[in-house]
Amino acid sequence: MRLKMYQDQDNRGRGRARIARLLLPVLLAVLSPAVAAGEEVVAYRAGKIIRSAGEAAAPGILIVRDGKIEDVLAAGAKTPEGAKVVELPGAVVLPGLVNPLSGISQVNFTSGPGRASQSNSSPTDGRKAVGLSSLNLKHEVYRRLGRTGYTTFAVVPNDTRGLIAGQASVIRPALGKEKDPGELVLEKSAYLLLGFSSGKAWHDAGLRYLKKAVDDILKEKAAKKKAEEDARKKAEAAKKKASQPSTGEKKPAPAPPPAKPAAAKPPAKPKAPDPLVQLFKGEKKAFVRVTSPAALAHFFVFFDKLPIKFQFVLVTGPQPPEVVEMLIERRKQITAVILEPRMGRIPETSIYVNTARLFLRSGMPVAFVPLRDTIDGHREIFFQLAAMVKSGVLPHEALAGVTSVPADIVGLGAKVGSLKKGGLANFACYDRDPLSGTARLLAVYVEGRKVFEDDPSTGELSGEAIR
Amino acid sequence: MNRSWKAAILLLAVSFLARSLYCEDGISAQRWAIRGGKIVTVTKGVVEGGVLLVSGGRIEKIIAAPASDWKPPAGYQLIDASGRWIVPGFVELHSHIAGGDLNDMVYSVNPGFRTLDNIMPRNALLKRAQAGGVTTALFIPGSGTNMGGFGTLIKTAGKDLSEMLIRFPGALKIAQGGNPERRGGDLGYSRIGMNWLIRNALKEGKLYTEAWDAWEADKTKKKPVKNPRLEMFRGLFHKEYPVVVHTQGYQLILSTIRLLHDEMGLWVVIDHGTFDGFELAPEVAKRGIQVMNGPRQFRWDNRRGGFRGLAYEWYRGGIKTVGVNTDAPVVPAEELIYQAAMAVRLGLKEDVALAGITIHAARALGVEKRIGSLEAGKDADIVIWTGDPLDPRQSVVLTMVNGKIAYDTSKEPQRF
Repeated sequence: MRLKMYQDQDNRGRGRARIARLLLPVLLAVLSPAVAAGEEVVAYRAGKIIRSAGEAAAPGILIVRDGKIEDVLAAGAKTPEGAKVVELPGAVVLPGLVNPLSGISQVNFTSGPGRASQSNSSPTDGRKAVGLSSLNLKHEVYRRLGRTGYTTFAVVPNDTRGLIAGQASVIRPALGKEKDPGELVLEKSAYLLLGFSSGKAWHDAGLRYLKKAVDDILKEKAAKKKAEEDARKKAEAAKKKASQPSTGEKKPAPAPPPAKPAAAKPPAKPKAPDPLVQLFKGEKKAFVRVTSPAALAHFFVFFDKLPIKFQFVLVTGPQPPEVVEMLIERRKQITAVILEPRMGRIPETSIYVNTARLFLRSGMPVAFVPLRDTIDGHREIFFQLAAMVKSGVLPHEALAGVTSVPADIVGLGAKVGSLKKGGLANFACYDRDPLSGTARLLAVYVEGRKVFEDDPSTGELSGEAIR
Repeated sequence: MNRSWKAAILLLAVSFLARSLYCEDGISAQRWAIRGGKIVTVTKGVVEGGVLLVSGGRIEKIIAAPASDWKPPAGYQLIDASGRWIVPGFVELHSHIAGGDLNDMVYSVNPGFRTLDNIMPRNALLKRAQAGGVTTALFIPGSGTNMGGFGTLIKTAGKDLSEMLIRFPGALKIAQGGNPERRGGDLGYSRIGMNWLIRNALKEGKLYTEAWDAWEADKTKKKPVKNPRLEMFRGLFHKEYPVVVHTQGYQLILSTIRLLHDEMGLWVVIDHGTFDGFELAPEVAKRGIQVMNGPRQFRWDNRRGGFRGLAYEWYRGGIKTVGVNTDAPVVPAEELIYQAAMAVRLGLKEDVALAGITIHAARALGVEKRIGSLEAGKDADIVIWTGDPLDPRQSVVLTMVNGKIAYDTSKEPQRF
């Protein structure tokens, strides 16, 4: 069933825009004080609401106040007084989807610190590169992000490239009025992405970068320890001296010459902390991309030699069962896994394995990223997830893999990934169970603002003939 | 009648009975009663809880409302399909999976080539097709050159080629643009050059056909010289089989219409048909040309904004029989139904999408009397699904080809 509100926007858009342009100054003048003083409350009355993955879908009313979720009420409940009611009959409303690792918005990343080589084989050091610095609002991709059902993206400059790829910034789709890319950003530096490939160049560079960071920490610790030791010795000496009996009067020492007034020095600029050092100290989250089984084997040999370990989210590809078992044994180091929703294969056979299912059955949280890191790739996500469900991933695990799990691993679980009270009003409306494969995305809201509405001219839905 | 005669007759009767119950490989019974479930005939609606009888490799009949105490007739083996969907085997019009080495890149036009000799029965990719409910495939040459040769219409299962073969030639393969532009062949990797090559080859074939037609109709006393390179053109120009055209985008499809249909008068099927090709849907529909869209199912529309479902746009423009394809193994053969599901999500009606890969695809190749729907007398190409095949969470339970079980998840260790 199609929603009545989704009438043809294209045809009406131009006329409305012209009227709006004429009336806007007048309306602003009249309404501005009221809007500024009052809070906007909207009640979305939906056919089904899935508050978070794992909870049953039920008819309900989503109350949104100033871009945040105030409450989710039962279907028959009374809406707050003065609330604007939006009817979404037949729609399945679920939390806006979250991509924990994407390069989709990094359209301007052509130069600057940490730029990866185009050959995709260079162990580049991009620790200073931050997703935010590569955003370019002039590009239309930011407006298109919203039409995918995704409302949160953790973007990394080098994405798939670089040994130290860069720091992820978590952003939302553009609403159209932003003047500064910073307005899109929920978290400037959510994690540091490392990438490992097998081979000597990567091993040597890994040693150089990571061991340097470890050495820095060890040196810092040693210096601190030495300072403490010196202070202790000094205190002991002073104590000893104080306790010794005096043997006679000493001549007072001559007074020192008066010191020349020192030239006023500008205060030293605080040095920006090295993200790699922060990672080893546990002050920054780490995502580590190791795709092939061979690279995994290399990586752990290398990782095990490090005198300081860190916990990380593993970004990997479909793996055969024995590799999955090996990774599950490292549960203390690996906090979650990011996978593309596709099947793995047992080497030298044509037997397919659902890697995600194996991880999930062991209790490892799994987040899914689309097969293609493009706008249409993101639109296809439920289709890809449905194939995962076919081969053993449970529907709520598939949904969690694109909502709550990625939100948690980027550290924004309180804000996005579920329709929690106090969270951002980011949600997507589908015309049926999104995992059915034929579900159509009807509308997407970001912080209570509609960023996408289905264009009915692209199709009508039916199916009575065989359903 | 003496004792030895009696013994001989008894032996014959027993062997006849055994043969009627079991096929030659000794595994699958020849007569089946598939009971329960939802029988989606495609052409004659849906039968809930009916019985589908199969014998001799064909669908014997569908019993719409069997009595509650109905039992299969003697000699029929019961398959319980309660709660399942029973659907015709899918027809894939663009497939390269029955064998390899399909792109010979020496010459740009190769009307003498044929895929018949490359077919490898029982290969692993065919098994994947069966696991996706695909029971018929047009096995065509690749699109590295402008005219790759003649394809073969086959079933995806069978102990040997004779059992698999539906028709040879199945269709001529022409690639008008795209892949041949990657400098395959000796000449003509620009579109202007490629059109020249295709037109020349077809003109040669047409003249050859006309010469033989005149000879056979006693209109000339000069017997043409037999040319094996051009021989298969005769069936093409007599419309015994179509030309399937790798063509996409407005300009190429316009060229397909003009050159292949209007000028050469061929029976044309558009394969791919993607990008903005659908803008020509009314012209294509006017000529009765079938379109099998895919494997790209959508396009960002720069003019109007928004994503366009391409199969739906073809449908809306007048191609009411539009189907989809995978170009397997470009997209795995078992994902043909995903292509259809994607088309549905982008606007196509579900029944149209299902018909597009069954009866409409069969009709596009002129074999709709044999395959493409569940009707009495047609080949028993039947697939039992766990549920609605357009839902990617559902999977195939059993695939029957020519009345024999080709894929059965209860016995098959492999999943797809």
